[in-house]
Amino acid sequence: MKVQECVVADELVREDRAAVGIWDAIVVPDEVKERIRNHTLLSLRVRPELPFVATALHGLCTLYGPPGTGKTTLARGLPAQIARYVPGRAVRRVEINPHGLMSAEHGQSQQRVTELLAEHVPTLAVDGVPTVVVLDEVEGMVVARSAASLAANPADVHRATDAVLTALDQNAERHPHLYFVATSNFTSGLDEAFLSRSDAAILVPLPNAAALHAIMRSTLLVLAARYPGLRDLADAPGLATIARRAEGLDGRRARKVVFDALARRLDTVLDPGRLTEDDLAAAVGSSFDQVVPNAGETADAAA
Amino acid sequence: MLRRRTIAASPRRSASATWQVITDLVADTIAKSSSLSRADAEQAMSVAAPAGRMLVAGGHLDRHPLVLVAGAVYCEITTISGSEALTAEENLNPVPGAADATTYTIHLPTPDPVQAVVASAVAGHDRLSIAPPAPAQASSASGRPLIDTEALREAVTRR
Repeated sequence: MKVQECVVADELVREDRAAVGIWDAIVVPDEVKERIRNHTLLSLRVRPELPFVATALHGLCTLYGPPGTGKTTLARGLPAQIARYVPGRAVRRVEINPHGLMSAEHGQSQQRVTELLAEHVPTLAVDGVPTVVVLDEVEGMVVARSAASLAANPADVHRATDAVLTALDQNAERHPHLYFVATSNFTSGLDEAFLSRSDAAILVPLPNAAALHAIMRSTLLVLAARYPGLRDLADAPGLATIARRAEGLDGRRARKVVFDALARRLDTVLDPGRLTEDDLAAAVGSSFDQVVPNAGETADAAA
Repeated sequence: MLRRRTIAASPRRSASATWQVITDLVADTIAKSSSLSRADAEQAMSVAAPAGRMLVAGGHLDRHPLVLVAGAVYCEITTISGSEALTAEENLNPVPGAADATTYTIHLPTPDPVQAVVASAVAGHDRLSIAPPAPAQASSASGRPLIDTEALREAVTRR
């Protein structure tokens, strides 16, 4: 795979309804979204004006937390949130697939990382337009060297981590219009020097009961546009109780619960409007048989 | 945008072979332009070859870079010699950023004692120069505000 093929998205994003809808669809505490947005704005505001030695801002934010909590979607939706505050009202979104960078050939991973992050990405943004670079599942390219064994992890992987750090340092000074957003499910697996370079490491938590209620309700309301019988279920008081039982599920799983409930009976497959609270409750109960919840990272407040 | 490429020289390659690698890198980069030709770049590097081989053989390019300036490309090309050349990793892919270039210049260094030889070799060629290139821009965005503070102020006021 060529380095250029590791760029899976390169587009100018404006503040249109569809782009903003991506961000709005993720139910997390408001303060999480505000921190992500504000850190980005601050970085773009301050870094062109002040020397790197004074700010130590790398233009890097790491979103971490359990799978299915919306980290990647938030990162992808960030440019539309920023667009209204930049001249030209457009922000570039570049998305990287880190897994394509690793090579079995000796020395190639390091070289490919350098070529991509220090050369190709700045070239994509050579027009100076503020650019959000999404590094999804960054643990694929930034292995914690202190915890990694050279026996299990080839030296090439270690050197690839070095190359990421070097590229971040270079870009921090030379390209203040670049803002990297990394996502990871495994902060313990990330290199300490990488985390140190993150201007903010923001936990995207599992949804609490209120957030789960909002997620399931919004899913039902989307379906209700096609199957009106679901509107009553979306507004039913019992949905809050079901949401409380669902605590421990991630947001993605909570959306799937609605469809799992629909799939439990053939008549709800035929007519989704006939879905009941009992169907939903049963689907929530069985969903815990399918997933291992990541305890201890639930939200304190609903969005 | 400043970029750097390092090419392994002696003992991994002879001076001629090293210059050929540099020639290919420059030509491959220029070939990305829609208005410049690879053959033109190869011809320019061919004219500079006698001086270039001397710069490589003398180890001058280890310390004094050849600089290719073409549109958004500002690439310093140096060599590495000795035992490190045996294990050096090279990036020989075209330097990104030349797609919109309409002209280019190859700046050759003129260290002592080969200054006169290099100057003589490149004299009169449009694409070759011994003048130091203008410094690379740190970034196309530097010095320019990236945030519309009025828009930000309005948002703060509306809250």
